Amino acid sequence: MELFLKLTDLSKSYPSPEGEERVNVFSEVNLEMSKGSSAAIVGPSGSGKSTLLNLIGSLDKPTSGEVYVNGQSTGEFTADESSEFRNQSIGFIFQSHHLLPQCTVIENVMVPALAGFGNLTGKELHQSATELLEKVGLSHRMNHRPAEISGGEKQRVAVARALINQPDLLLADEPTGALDKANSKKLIDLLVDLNQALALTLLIVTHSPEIAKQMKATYLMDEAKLAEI
Amino acid sequence: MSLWRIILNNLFYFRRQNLGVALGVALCAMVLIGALTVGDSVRSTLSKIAEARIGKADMALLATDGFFREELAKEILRKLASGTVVAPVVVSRGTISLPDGSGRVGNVQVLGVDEDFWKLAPNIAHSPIGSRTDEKNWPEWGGDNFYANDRLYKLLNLPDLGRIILRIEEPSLFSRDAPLSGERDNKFVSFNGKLSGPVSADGFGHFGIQGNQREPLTLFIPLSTLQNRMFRSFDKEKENTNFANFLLLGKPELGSVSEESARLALEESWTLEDAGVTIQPLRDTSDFSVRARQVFLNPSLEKAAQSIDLNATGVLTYLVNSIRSNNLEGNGTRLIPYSMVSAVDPKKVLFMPEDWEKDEIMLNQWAIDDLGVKIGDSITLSYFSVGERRKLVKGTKKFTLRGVSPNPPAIVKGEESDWTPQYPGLSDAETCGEWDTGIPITHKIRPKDEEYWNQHRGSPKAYISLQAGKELWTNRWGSLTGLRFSREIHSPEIIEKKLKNLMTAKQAGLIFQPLRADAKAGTDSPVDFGQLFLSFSLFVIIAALALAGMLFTFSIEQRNNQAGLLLALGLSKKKVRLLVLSEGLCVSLFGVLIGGGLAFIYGQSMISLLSGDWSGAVSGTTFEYTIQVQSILGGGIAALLMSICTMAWSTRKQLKFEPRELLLAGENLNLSNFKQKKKKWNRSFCFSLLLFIGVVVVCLTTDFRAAGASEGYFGAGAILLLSGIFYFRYYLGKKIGLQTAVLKSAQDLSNRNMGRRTGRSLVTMASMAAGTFLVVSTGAFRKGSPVSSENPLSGTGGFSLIGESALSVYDDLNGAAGRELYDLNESLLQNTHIVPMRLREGDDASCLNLNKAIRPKIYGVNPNEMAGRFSFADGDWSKLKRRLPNGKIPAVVDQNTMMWALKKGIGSEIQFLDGEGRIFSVQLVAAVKGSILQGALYIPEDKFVQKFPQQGGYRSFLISVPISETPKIQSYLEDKFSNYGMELSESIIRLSELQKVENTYLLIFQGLGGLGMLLGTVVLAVVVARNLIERSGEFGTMEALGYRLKDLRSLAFSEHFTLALWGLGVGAISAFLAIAPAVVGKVGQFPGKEFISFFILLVFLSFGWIKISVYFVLRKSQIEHLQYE
Repeated sequence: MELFLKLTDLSKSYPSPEGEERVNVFSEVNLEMSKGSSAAIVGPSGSGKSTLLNLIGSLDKPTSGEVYVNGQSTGEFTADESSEFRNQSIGFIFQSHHLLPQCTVIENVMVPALAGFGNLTGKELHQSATELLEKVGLSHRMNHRPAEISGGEKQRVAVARALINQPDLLLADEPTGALDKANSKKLIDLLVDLNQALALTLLIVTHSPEIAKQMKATYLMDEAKLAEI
Repeated sequence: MSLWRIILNNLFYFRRQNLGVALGVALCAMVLIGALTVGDSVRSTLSKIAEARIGKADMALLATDGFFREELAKEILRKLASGTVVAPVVVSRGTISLPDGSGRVGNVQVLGVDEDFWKLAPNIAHSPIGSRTDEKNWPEWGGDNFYANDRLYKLLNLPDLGRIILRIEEPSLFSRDAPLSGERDNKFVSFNGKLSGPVSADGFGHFGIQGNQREPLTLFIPLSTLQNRMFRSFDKEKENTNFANFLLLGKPELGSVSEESARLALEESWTLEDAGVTIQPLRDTSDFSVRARQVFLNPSLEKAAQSIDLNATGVLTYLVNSIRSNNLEGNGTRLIPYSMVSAVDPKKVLFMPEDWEKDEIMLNQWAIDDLGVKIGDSITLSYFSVGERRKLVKGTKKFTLRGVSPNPPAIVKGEESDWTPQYPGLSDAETCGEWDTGIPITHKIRPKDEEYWNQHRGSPKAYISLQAGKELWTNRWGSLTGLRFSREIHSPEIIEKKLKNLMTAKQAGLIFQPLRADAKAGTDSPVDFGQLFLSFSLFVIIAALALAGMLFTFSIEQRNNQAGLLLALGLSKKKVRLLVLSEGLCVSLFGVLIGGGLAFIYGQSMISLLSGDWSGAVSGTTFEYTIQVQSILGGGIAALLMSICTMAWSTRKQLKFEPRELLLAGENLNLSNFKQKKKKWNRSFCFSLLLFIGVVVVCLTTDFRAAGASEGYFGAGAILLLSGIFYFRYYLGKKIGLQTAVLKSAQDLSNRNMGRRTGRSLVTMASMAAGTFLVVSTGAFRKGSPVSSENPLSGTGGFSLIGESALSVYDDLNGAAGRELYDLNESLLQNTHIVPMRLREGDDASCLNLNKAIRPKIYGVNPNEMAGRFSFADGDWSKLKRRLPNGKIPAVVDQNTMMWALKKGIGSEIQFLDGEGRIFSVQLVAAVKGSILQGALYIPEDKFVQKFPQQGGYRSFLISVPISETPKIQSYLEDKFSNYGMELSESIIRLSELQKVENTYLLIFQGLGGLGMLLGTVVLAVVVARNLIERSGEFGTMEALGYRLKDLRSLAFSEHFTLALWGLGVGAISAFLAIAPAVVGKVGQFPGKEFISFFILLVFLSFGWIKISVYFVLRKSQIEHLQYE
């Protein structure tokens, strides 16, 4: 299988409030994922799962080590290249959906396509967004605003938004954290379907063993180390 | 732990936000307190000017149109408490010239004063009798040592103290307008005196009766020096010159003279002589006659005298040009020139039968013999009466000879007939050839006439009935020249006593003026500068309050979840609100304290500007910065209340939410509920459309070039502004909630964001739009310098020159007779027309005087001469011809004077005292728009002379002359009338001076409004920063979704700059419509480069602030806001 994501000796630490010593989040983390694979990262709160996801998604810079996505080191990206990388290669699903309240459901889906990196415009974009909403089962809600739909629906909108630029890597940071069991299941089923149907590489951070089980691999982040279980 | 502890913790913990709020409040307090201290300073300065003007005097007694005995001062003094000073003064006007002819100053107030006057000086040490005279090397007060006040002294500009020549008018016994008043040209008295020094304000150099802030040009002369020359012909019989026309009363040491005690003292002290009334024993009978110094008995005197005895015999003796026989067959001379004729009631004299008809005449034997007429013959009397502008109007009347009276007894030189009053220029003439009656002598005076004069003086040669006499010779001064009482019934002493009891001092023309009370009332400026600056600073106040309110709201919104928590913990909404507002109160209090300190700087800056760049608004007065405690307290409390109200209003919605909502939603609680507002947005569009239609209608129906176009288009601009604001509201709604099209670009997202905080965006846009509109459009009301004075409908009324003289000119300067009399060059003046106006001195009610005009000046004008001149806001000159009920007199007034100085409207009435101290009402019937007529009331001339019969001649002149000839005519007339102190100025200059005041007010408004607007852009910056901070999470998301930070900055900038441009655009377009008449129709002044530069500055400032705010908030990645989750 083609190697898609590779983390080599990735470390992250923050300056402590006292200033002298640094707080180590994790160190020398290594990970490899092939294209179209799926994996879950589990671990106790504060272990650095989300931080790791942010480093992979180029939302943050590592203290040391390298992140390779599709053979490219993200650490060498300029700010613009980082933006383009996030926009074109990554689909991010946050625990909190982060939908724009002033935009309708379909507009929220379209927002990443307007960043100026892709080729989708006008009717084509609208068509794509509609199809994605159909895929996540929200075609009947496309002209509603975020305030007018449920939490589960919001998260599905976030999924559709993450997919609009046809990314290679889908990063989901506790996507079911604010959802009930039924909605959680629906969402994870959707992510798994997408992983299989679109050959997307899926990396999910979760506390739920059930969700982790649905992934092809599971890693435990604990005591500043990542280990496959 | 108490609630106060929570408040204190909040104050400290959120100190940065609170400091911002406090600064906003401080700004508001600074402007409020500062503006009030400007008012304090103006009032205090005016009060000091008034104090300097009246010194230690409390009251003034004026003889409205005559002179009283100087002795009256002492008599009044005796009846007043010790320590009182009553100073007799002679007030006159004159011209001063230098002996070498190198300089001349006209229209100078000349004061004949004695040492008592100086005792009432603000500081006697500085007066000519004060202790400092030695330091100044001033000579002893008296003799021919004259003193000028500092203003006159500077104007005379004598290198060394030298001699000056003063020329004043010798007072006439009675008005020179009156028939037989003597010489036709004025008599002058000249003084050659030594100018001994300048009298400062402290030394009483600024003394004046009128409540004007600028002191008059005053020359002080020792009283006796002035009296000896001025009154040399006044009382030849007694050779008395001790007269005065003004008393000044005051208590220099302690206390003040009460009005009541002064009036009481006057009523007890005045005599008939002070009113110019004499009881004269008759030579030929035992009767005696009541006579007036003014020859004709005024109506009050006549009424009072007749009320004592209805049988008193009224006599009217008049000089006729000729007594002519119409009997062609007679053998006499047919004409007797220049004779006295007495009119008397036939029922009250024995020598006329009771059934005497009014067309019957009795001649004395001398006349019968001279004319050779017999009973039944027709006799014609020809005479002159005095018409308008002292034009002699010839009249004739035919009578039938019915009786003959014996020849009059011989009269010794220097005396006069019992029947004839002392006519000036006549009674004192040695021979007929010396007569100076003011009428042309066209008939030859024969030796027999001279003989009659020598023997019988002015004894009448004919008698007619009083009824006939009154019909022929009644004039505005009276209808009798004497009233005879029988000594068998009355004694002169009793009559004198009764007459005095029947008349008041006022009726005798002696009128008290409460100087101190008037000065106090006068300093209540018609323009309250405190309020004026408050209104001018409105935008600064609004901007400061908006800033404080917004910062406070932001600070509170940040703590929505805390409020939710407190509610969840069981605190009542009332208590939570109390916590919020108590925190606001503490912050506001702190802000007010800072603002109070800053107010000194602000107030002083305003006062400096008023004394400098803005001095046009205050006629160059220099103000002292003064602060009243009540202004600091009032302004501080007002700022505190306003900021608390703003805070309460801006946070009013917070506690309407449930605790759960507050806990969950945090600071994004107030996001719009789009569907609920859909109806409102559609309604906004309808309003906008309706208002726009209104704008179109106003524009289509208002002529750009017509008078009133500025006001009309200002209204249209204001409506367009509202329409624009409503449309923007709809636009916001459309962007956020009514849109049908989906996003096409990231720019669409930016536009839509504008509508997220509809209220915030709308307030920002509307305040910028309103500010831009008002600041720019008020420029349209600035008056441009008049280009030509020749347009009769302009503010000059078509008059190129305007002026006043110190002394009255009595004759018509347009007529051949008048021009001949004054030796005026007919060909030079062929294109010149002079409109004279009678003047009753009073307070200047123009905008050049900051004092309240208690008694405005009155001009008497001929409405026919003014017809078609000036533009009227209401009515026209013909309204002066209206007959008003209850004896009210109509008046035309300048609109600015009416509105601002007098605070009146059309139909309002103002009360004045006439020449006899009686109250009469003047009703405002027409208002002239922005003109040189500012500062006074204009009443019909005929009514003027009725009310002020003793006030003769004209002292004010409006002169129409082609512009090219203006300078030449100005210097010619000033030269010709130099003895009269005539000073002319170009009416355009006068109008510009008046307009400068108005323009400066607008400039101040624009300046402070502009400052408010500039501060408003700071509010914009705060709004931008706040909006962006609120949306940091969104920006983080968008960054996570691949948006570049620079793109996000550009989107944020575009969103907010669009908002600013909407405000500036709507404001500018509306303002442009408002100034359209100035731009297109040349009505008013085009705001010009100020308008453009102000607008550009606003655009740049908005641009700059938004850039700074965007950069400040989005200078680094917002992704960290996602990470904090």
